[in-house]
Amino acid sequence: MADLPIFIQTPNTGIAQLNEGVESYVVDGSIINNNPTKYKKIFTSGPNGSILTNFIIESTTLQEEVVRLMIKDPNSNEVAYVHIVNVPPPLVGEGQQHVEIKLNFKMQANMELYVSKSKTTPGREVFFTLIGGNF
Amino acid sequence: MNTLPQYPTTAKNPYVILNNTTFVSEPNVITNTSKILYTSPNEKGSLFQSLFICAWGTNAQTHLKVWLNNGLDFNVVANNALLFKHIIPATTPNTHMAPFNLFRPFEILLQPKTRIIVQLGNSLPNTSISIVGCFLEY
Repeated sequence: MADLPIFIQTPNTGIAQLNEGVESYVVDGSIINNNPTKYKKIFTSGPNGSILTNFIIESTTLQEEVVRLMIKDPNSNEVAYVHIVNVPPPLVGEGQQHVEIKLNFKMQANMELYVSKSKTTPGREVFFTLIGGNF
Repeated sequence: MNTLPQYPTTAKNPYVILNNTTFVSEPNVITNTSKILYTSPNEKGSLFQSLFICAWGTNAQTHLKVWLNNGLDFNVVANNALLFKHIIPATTPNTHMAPFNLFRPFEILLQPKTRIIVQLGNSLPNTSISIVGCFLEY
């Protein structure tokens, strides 16, 4: 099968934390630009493109959360969803909830990824980690 | 095993949002409800790897069609082939529901100028279906 040639990849790991939430479900990049505390950029693809492998969510908010992973062209105001995850509240006796999404996503050069969560939870965070590599 | 030679490729991630406000003025495939997601480059073509399809808070069921257009007039039915059709279930705009996510692999080679066109079955007022494509250009 024709595919990307084998390049030596440079690991590229993005991290973000959020405690402010947003319930809005209309996809619009201007919302992201106007609400920097509710949407965080987690990853920017390298100049030769990137590959994404894992999206890890660790929630300590004690509530059910809708978490969204969004892609944005730096030259556009519009975003699109790559994945929407319903993260359940932590089990009784445990302080956090772990969700891991496997990705195999070859990403265009310079594209950006953002994350959001649905509830505002002062003092309690959702932690996001995105594992990838630059070509 | 016989296989295609390995060429350098460039990843492309075109994306579109489909809802009732955008599809009226967009290109026509059969009906007036579609958008061009991707056009294969003129010289060497590309590999159509996959689509990420997501919905949240749409309230109504719809379906998504993915068309392959041969590069000629997409208003002519004979120039289009239906690659894929999938029901998109209604999703409610609160946290107590399952979001809709579909990862659909295709892994098909596209000759130069071929278009990939996406189309909704019915309008979704104030909400949308989001489609992200993964393409590799030769």
